[in-house]
Amino acid sequence: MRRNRFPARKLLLSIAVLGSAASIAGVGTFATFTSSTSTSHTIASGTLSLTAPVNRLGTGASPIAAGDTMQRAIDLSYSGTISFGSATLTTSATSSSLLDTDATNGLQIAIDKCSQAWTESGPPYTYTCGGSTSSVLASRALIGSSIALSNLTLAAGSTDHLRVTVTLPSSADNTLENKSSTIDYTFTGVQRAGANQ
Amino acid sequence: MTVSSKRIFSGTRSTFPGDLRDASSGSAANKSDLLDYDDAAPAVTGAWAAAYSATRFYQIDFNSPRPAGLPASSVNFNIKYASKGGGGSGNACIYKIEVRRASDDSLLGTLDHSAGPLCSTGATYRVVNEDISSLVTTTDLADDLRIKIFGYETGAKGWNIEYATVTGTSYASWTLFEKTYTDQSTGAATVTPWSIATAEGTGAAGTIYTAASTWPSTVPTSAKYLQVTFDHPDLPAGAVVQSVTLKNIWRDATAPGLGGTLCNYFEVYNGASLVETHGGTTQATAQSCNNSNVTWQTDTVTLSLVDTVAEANSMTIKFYYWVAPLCGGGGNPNCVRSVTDQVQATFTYYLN
Repeated sequence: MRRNRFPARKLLLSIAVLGSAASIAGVGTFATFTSSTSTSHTIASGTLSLTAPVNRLGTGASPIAAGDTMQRAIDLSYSGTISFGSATLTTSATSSSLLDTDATNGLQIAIDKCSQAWTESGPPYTYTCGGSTSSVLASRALIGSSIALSNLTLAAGSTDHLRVTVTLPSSADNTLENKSSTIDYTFTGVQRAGANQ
Repeated sequence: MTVSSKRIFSGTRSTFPGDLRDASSGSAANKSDLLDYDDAAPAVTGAWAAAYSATRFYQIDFNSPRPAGLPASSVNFNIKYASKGGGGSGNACIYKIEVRRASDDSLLGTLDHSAGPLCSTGATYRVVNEDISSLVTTTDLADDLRIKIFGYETGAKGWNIEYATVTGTSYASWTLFEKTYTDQSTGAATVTPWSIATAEGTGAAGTIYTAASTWPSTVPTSAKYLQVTFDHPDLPAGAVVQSVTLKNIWRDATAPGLGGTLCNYFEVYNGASLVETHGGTTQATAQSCNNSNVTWQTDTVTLSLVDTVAEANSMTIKFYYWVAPLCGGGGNPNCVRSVTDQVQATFTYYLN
């Protein structure tokens, strides 16, 4: 069964900051005259927003063979007003097979980033980068929880252009024939550390 | 993202011809593997005991053309057999059948008919189809299969075995054929490989096929050839054929001498339709030539036009031999026969 599921979870976090008006009062011992001044400021909480305006991760592949590679683009857009401090990826199989349970010969994932939007061709999709590339996730078994991602911008108002590469290794043997897995991808952003404001 | 893998990964699967027709004389003779086909050409066993003996059996190792790693279903061992007949003969009886792995002789299971042996009525053939699906569950096992038949002949005579094959299904129906048999019906083993199944390189009797007649002089003759048809590649419908390779290992039976050499070219057929030809009809254009009765010539040829399932499954090869530049007559090279050690077809394919 093929499922097209929007794979990136939009994460919207609000920060609640306790704010109160400050007041300053001066008191004299023999004061005859008195005066006072007061001021106030407004403290508003920001927003964290993680969206995926470009997303090819819903596009499956069938049938694949040992050595086959699937490239899919996804943009992570940080459209809130507060930057993220880090991001992780959790992958899970909603329909599982040896393709996702065999950590060695089953599906592997790697993610890299382009400094500008990837240029797409296909399908089958392939991508070229007109700017510079950097590794976000080195190749590893596809399924994992809270996998740390590197080299992301994470800054509010910016976008990271990612290319997810899923590979069935050449070492995949005949036990991996005629198998099917449906994979969910969840990108999670974590707010930057608190700072003086 | 949903990812699905191919039903059969790309890989190479090899088999050999069981059907061999020798027309070196100009008239085709059936020289096929005696255990392969229901063709009134049975394999004849030695004389059995009149009752079951644990040391008397007939053992068959099968070919291995199936893609590995697939589930197998509806697997049957099929045998057509009878008493050889003659004076004092009785009934040919199967007492039990053991299903084993050929690689290590490990026992997969036994079909025990000791309580009611499966007997022919004299020399009238009996067909037995034994369901071995519970024992041969994968193509890995099918590709490594040995069947061991324990039997007897109530008159202590031999059997005729018209065919002994294994059939099954893995995306498509398939049939396995004999590669080597061991006849221990007498209590003493005689091991006989199918002559052109494997490359022994020894030239020993039983491991080679020697053409029945000497080949013609100067040019090949369309009526004189060796024809082989392969023991069922059984590519499933929808398979994508990536490449097909033919290997032919051969030499002269005797050296022609006097500058003569044995040459060949071959034609590839899909049934009766010519698909492609390799080599020409002169020494210069031949597929290969060999003037030695010692050195084996190995021809490995890609059959680029065999690129469909139908062509692969029905592939027949005709080898035309001749002695160049000429043979026969005083002062000329001798006309000679060919010796074939192995013919093998290798198919590379996958199934989405």
